[in-house]
Amino acid sequence: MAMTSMVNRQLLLIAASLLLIVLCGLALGARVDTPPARSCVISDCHVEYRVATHMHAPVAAGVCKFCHRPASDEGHQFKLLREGSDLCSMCHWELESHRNIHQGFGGEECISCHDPHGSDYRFLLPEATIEDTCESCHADIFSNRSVMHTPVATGSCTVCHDPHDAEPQRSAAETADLCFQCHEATRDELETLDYIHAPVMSGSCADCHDPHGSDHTMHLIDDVPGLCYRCHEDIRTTVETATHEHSVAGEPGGCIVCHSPHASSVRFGLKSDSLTLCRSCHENEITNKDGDTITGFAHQVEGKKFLHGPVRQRDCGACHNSHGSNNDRLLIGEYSPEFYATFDLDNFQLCFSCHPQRGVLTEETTNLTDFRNGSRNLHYAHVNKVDKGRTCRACHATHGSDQPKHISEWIWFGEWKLPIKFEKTASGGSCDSGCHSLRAYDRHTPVEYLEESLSLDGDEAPQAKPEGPMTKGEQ
Amino acid sequence: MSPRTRYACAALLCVLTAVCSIASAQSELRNARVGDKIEPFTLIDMDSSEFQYQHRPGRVSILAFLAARQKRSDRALDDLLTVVADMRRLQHPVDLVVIITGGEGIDYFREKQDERLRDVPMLIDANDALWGRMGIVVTPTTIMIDREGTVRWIRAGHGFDFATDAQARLKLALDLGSASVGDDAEPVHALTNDSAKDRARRHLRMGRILARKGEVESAISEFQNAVALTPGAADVQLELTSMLCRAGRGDDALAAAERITPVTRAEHARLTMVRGWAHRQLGDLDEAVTLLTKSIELDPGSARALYELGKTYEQRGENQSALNAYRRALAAHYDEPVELPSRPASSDRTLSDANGQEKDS
Repeated sequence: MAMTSMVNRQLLLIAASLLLIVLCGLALGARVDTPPARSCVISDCHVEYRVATHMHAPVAAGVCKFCHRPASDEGHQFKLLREGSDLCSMCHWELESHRNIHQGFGGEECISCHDPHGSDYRFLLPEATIEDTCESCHADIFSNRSVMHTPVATGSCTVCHDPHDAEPQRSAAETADLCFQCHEATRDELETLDYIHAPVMSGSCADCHDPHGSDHTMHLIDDVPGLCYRCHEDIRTTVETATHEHSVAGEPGGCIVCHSPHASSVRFGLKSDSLTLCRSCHENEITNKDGDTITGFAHQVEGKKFLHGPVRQRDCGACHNSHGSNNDRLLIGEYSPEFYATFDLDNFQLCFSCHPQRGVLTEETTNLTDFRNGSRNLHYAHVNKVDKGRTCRACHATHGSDQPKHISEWIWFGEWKLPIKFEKTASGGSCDSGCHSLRAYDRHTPVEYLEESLSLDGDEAPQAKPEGPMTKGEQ
Repeated sequence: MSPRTRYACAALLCVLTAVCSIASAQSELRNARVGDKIEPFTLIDMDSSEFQYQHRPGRVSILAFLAARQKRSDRALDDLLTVVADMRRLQHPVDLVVIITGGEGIDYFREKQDERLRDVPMLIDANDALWGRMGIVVTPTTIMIDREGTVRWIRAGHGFDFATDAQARLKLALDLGSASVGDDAEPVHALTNDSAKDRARRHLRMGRILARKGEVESAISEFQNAVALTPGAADVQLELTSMLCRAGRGDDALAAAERITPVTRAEHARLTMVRGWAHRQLGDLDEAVTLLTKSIELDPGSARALYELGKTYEQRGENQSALNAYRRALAAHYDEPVELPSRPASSDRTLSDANGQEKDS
């Protein structure tokens, strides 16, 4: 029975020990409550090594000669078996596999951070915490930063750093993997998105973030937009030199109002579709910082039967440069604000950025446009004139309209509001506007106009009267 | 009028009638619409050779009407080449045909160095014949034709979502399951990583790293942050409770456990386990055995529960039961079957001082 008990107890101890190791990990530093017996540390000379809460294992075991040996046969003089980290690596050989050994202050290597005999602190450290130990040399990391990365703020340096490895050769991919240790939500999201910001794609998190901390939100290395301008110099130029500014573009944090700095499901890293982003400010009339009134967008499109393609595709950026522009309304090209303009291609830059300019350069065509009488190109007839050429806005509504072909229901002519009664037919249409009397056109059977009514020179007097006081600029 | 002249006039009239009929018919073909069958057409390519387009059954075609030196055309072409290449890599039959509108800037396209253009026909619509027939009004315009030769998508212009849209439309045209497009399209999604859940995950991850490094108190702090961000998440609270046990703070662990509402069987098992673990630490060994046994019933593969049960038995001096539990714990940890030796339970109480000092690390 006694033998059985002994076997049981031995098995119990073995199993428990194994489990302790497996489940709880390797013990780092041994806390020894019982002082070693019969060794140098109980002598009067070296009694100070007994008082440490955490003793180095050879000291605890009283085997001083693990590290020391007599310097001579005579006298009480000793020297180390090996010098520097060579001595430590006799037992701690695994540390030699590190690529770049962390050089302790003054080249003292291991004993810069560890007391070789014992310490009151874990890992035989000279300070109470890892943070305090690191700070004794790397004080700059912990000071003068108002926004700290969490591991730094909590003194958990070893979350990112191996204290035995100096790590100067870490690649971008390795850096990203390091960040993704904690930022796994970011990694998971990135896998679902097609448009990833270049620094994120290359794993260069530190291109934008200081991994220790900074004085900028999200411990960025600079404020937005300054940070963004470091790479996007062209945007800085647009924002800073445009004659028409978009207030949000140059404001602190402005870029990330519309753009995700990491990734998006669409081009340009947009946080939402362009229309939704723009409407978040421009839904209704607003007044900008210069006191100018910016017309609201909602009433221009809601309930309209026909929306201009870019509006239908929720892509305000097709016509507007959201960073700033030298054109009115932040347009990407010149769009004449006048009703009449001498024909000049430069006056039509905006529309020609999608629509071919040959549409107003070709007098006769059977292909280029549906707006023709037989083969007579009526766009050419209206627009391509030295004197009183119509601009696009003379007939078209740029956002939406209840008439086909984005024809405006009315247009401003000076202070007058002129209706445009446009009727579309299977092979043509007609227009009964304030500009001229009823005119029809047909692509298959050209309408014959009386000679005197052919004029499209704007000589006819507008037919409509003003409809009371209204605000201009709604188109 | 001589008979010959009359004959000539009649012939001319016939020709004129025919020409007018053709012109009229072509006009009726204007404005290609979604749902129309695509008609064959002939254009010349950049080597001035005639190219006849005819739908190839079973293949999806994309016609891209582009203009030279237009940024949007360049972007549309790049996106289409990418989308098509992705599909071709998966062996899907897709053809891309580029149509240079207006016949201008041919050299511009000729000089493009993109390898992906090597097998893409580059056709020239010099007099806008196809432009007019299709009713194109802007460049770029993209027309996608499905396997049966039906126009499935016409997109005028190029915007922020062009590639996403093109990819979804192509999947539909290839009958590759469902894809939401148009008004039903998925809303734009950007990486946020700042939701409470995301932040909680960061704290959890950091807590786990710290726990692995033996920084138990720091780990507890991280888990507490995670709990604060997602107060209702049982899995997060369970991490904290386990870590409190690991720190030997059984009373705090029990208090934390009170706030947990488990949902899944695994959560029930883990909550029961940590409560048993905490009770053991507080010396309430009978309650600990009850809870740990229940936990093991809920999750027989929990090495931690079996280990804690072993510890509890050991503290009670029931060494044989402890040994059995430890063996099962080892087997569970290494995912191995275990055969327990049949030992008389009565021998448990005969062992002396089987209990050791609590040493959780």
